[in-house]
Amino acid sequence: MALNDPMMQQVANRVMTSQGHKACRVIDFLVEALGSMPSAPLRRALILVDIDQHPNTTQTEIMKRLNLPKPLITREIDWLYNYGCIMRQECCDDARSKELLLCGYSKLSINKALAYCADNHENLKSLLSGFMSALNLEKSTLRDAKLVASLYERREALKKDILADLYDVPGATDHRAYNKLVQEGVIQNG
Amino acid sequence: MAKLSSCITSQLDALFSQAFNPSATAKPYTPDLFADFTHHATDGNTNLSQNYFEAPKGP
Repeated sequence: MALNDPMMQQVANRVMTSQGHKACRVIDFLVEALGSMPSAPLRRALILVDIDQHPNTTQTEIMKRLNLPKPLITREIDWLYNYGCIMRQECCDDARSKELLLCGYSKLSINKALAYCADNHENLKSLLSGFMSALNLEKSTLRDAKLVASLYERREALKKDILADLYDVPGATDHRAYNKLVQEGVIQNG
Repeated sequence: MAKLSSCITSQLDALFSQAFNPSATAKPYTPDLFADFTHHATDGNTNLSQNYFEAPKGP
């Protein structure tokens, strides 16, 4: 009952969970925000958070802020639009531009993720960019981040226990992601 | 038993402390994550604004 109160929920988020657990929860909400797809790249989540931070922004503005090449950002924005994460509307100032804003389930899930980051978009973006830097993979995904956050929380664990924390997808995908992190030296098998 | 490399663990310690500390505000995001990608995309020319964000100069 008390946790239905947003203020109590926020206090609970801060006090009752460890940092590793908070990271896992944030990643879970980002997976939800991106169509329940753990294979979504972290940079797609970064774009989504940026759009939420700057409602009615345009693709060109996102490109400048995140320093992403046009083909990549076009592809990601098309994906977000096709999966119902964002809406496009006519831009008042420039008929060639479309303004973008979050909607529906993505907005709700991003808000839940932000609650763990003091409702600060920069903190959430910093978390995502930090994961990308730490993993240092060609295309790190939310699944990779969850694997690492889960193992951070457990300190040491059996592979099967770590994989059990992941999402309901074919097991081979999870095994491939785990093995890739072992190959890259992120995870060490004792 | 599996565990994270000590390097990753220390990076995550710092990262989580920053992200989940209610009194901390991360510096505005400054992208340096795609340096490798853009390096290849620009064929060695690192002047990104020239390549992506500025219209070609006319005659």
